[in-house]
Amino acid sequence: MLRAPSSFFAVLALVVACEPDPPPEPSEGEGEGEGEPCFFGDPAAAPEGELVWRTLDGRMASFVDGQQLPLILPPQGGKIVLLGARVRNIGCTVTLTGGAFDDCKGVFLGVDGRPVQFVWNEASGWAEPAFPDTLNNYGNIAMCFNNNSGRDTNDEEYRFDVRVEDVDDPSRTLTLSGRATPFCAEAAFAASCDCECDVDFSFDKSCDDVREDPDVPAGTCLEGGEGEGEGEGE
Amino acid sequence: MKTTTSPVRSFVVAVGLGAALLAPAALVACLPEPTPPVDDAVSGVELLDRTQGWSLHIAPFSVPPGVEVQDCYFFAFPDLNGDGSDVWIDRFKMGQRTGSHHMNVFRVNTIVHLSGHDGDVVQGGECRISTNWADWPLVMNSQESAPGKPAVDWVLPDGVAQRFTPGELLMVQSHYVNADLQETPEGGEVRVNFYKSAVEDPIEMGSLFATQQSIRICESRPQVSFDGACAFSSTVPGQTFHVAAMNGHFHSRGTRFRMYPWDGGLDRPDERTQMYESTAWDEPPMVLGVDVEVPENGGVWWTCDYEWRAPVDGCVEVDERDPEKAGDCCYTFGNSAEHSEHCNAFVYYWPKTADVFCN
Repeated sequence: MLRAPSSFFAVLALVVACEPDPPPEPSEGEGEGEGEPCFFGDPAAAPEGELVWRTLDGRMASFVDGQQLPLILPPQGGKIVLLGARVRNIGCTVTLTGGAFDDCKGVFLGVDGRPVQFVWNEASGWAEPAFPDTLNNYGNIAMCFNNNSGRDTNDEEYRFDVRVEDVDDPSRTLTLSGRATPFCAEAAFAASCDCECDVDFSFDKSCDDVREDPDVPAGTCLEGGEGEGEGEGE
Repeated sequence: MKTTTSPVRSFVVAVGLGAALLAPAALVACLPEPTPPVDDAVSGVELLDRTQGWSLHIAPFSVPPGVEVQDCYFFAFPDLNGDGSDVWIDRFKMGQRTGSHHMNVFRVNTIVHLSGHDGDVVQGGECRISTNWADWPLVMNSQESAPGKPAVDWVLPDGVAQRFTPGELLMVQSHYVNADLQETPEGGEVRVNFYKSAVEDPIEMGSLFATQQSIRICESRPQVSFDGACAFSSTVPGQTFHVAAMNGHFHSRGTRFRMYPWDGGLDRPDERTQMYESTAWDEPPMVLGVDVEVPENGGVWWTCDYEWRAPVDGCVEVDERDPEKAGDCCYTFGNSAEHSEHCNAFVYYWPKTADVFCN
C-alpha cells in the first residue's frame, strides 16, 4: 500500500529523473502530525538497507561481512551484540527484529524486536538510527549466557539477520543478513564473558571451574547438531 | 537476622513538580508517620509441619504513603527429610497482603553486589539492581494480591516437581507500592508454602526468566511494542519441552502482554497460537495448569505492548531516568512502578534443562 499523495509521486518522479543519486529524502519527520506518514526516499521503490553495528565507544559503523562484533555487558546481564540498519524507501519508524542463527540446530538463538526511529543523514545518503550511541537503537542480540547454541558463542562465526518493518506499512519489509564473529571485547569482563559464552556454560556449574576447549576446528557443532555447516532454519 | 539498609531504603514517590525537585531526605522527613501494620493479614496459607513441607513467612512491615519498598530476604532451605537429602516440591501456595507489585523467589547463584545469609534482609539499594541476580534461577513468582482474592495455589503437573537441597540459599524479593498507581493500605506481608512431593522419582521442573531492558515508551511515539524470544536447550535429539505455567510483568503503561510457543524463526508467531495474555498491569493473571508443548529447538516468544501516558507528577523524574536525556518524557527500564517500565516474562516448564535466561 502506498501512502503518499499522488502529487508527491509526481514531484518525486521528476527529482528521480534529474538526479543520478538516490532521491532526496523528505525532511526529518515530514508528515508527522500533519496526517501524512513520515517517509524517507521513494515510496514507489523497494526498501533498501545496510547492516550497521555499534562500536564499543558508542559510534555507529558500517557492517562488513566476516568482521568481528564486540560482546558487551548490557544492563540486563549476559552479553549481547548490537546490530542495526540504515535504510531508505521506508517510513521513519520501523520495527527492527534481529537474531543470531545457530547453524548447528537450524534455529535462531533468540530474537529481539523493538521500534527504531530514523533520521536522514545527508552525508551518507541513508536514514540512520536517531540515537546511534544508545543500545536501544540496535537489535540487542543476546549471545551469552550460552544456554542453547551448539558451539561457543564467542570466537565462532555466526549468521546474523536483521528484519526492518515499516510500522505504518508492514508490507514494506527488508531482511538484511551477514556473518560475523562475536568476541569478548570488554577487558573488565573478559573472564566472565569467556565463561558465559562457552558451549559448556551452565548455571549449575561455577565459572571458577576449569573449562577446556575441545581440540576441534572452528564451526564444529558440539551439541545438538549434525556437524559443520549451515542448518536449515527458516 | 542481619538487616542491611541502604542510604535510601525505598523509592520515594514525589507528588507534584515542587516535591520532585526536593532532595529525597527532605521528602522522607515530610512523609507522615507510617501506620503500623496489623498482624498477619494473609489468609489461606496454612502453617506446614516438616512432614508436609516448609512455610516461609516475611513478617508484616510498613509501606508508608508515597513510597515503594523493595527488599530482598535470604532463607536457607530446611532439611525437611532430616537426613540431608534433596527435597522435591510439587505444590506452592503464595499469599500476600494487598498492594504487592511483585514477589519473586530465586536460588542464589553468582554473587555480584547482593548477598546474605539465612535470615538476612537487604532493604532497597542492591536489591533494586537487576544485574545482581542476572543468573539466579527463578523458583516461582506471584503478582496477585487483590483484596478478597485467595492465595495462589499452584499444583505442579502430575509427576513434575522442583528439587531443593537442604541449606541451599533462596532469595525472596518483595516489592510493595503505596503511591498514585498502586496502593498498600495495611503494609506488606508474604507467606509461601512449599509442599513436599510424594512422588518417588519426579521429572524436574525448570524456569525461564526473560527480561527486555532496552525499552523506551516516549510521548512522541506513544504506542510501541517490544519482542523477545529464547529457546530451550537440549542435547537430546527430539527432546521437546512443555510449558506448565506463566505470567508477564510490566507497569501501568503496559497495555497487553502476550506469550507464544516459538519455532526458532524470525517471524512473529501466529496469533492463534497465543498461550498467555494480560491486559491488567497491576494484577496480571498467572496461568496455571496448562501443558503447551513447544517446537523442538524452539522456546517462547513474548511481546509487550505499551501506550504512553503522562506521569501523574509530571515528566521531570521520568526524564531524569532516561539515559538518553531525550526530553521526550520517555519511560525506560527500571524498578519504579511510577516512573519506569518493565517487560518481564516468567515461564515454568518441564523437563528442566540448564535454567534458561534470555536477555
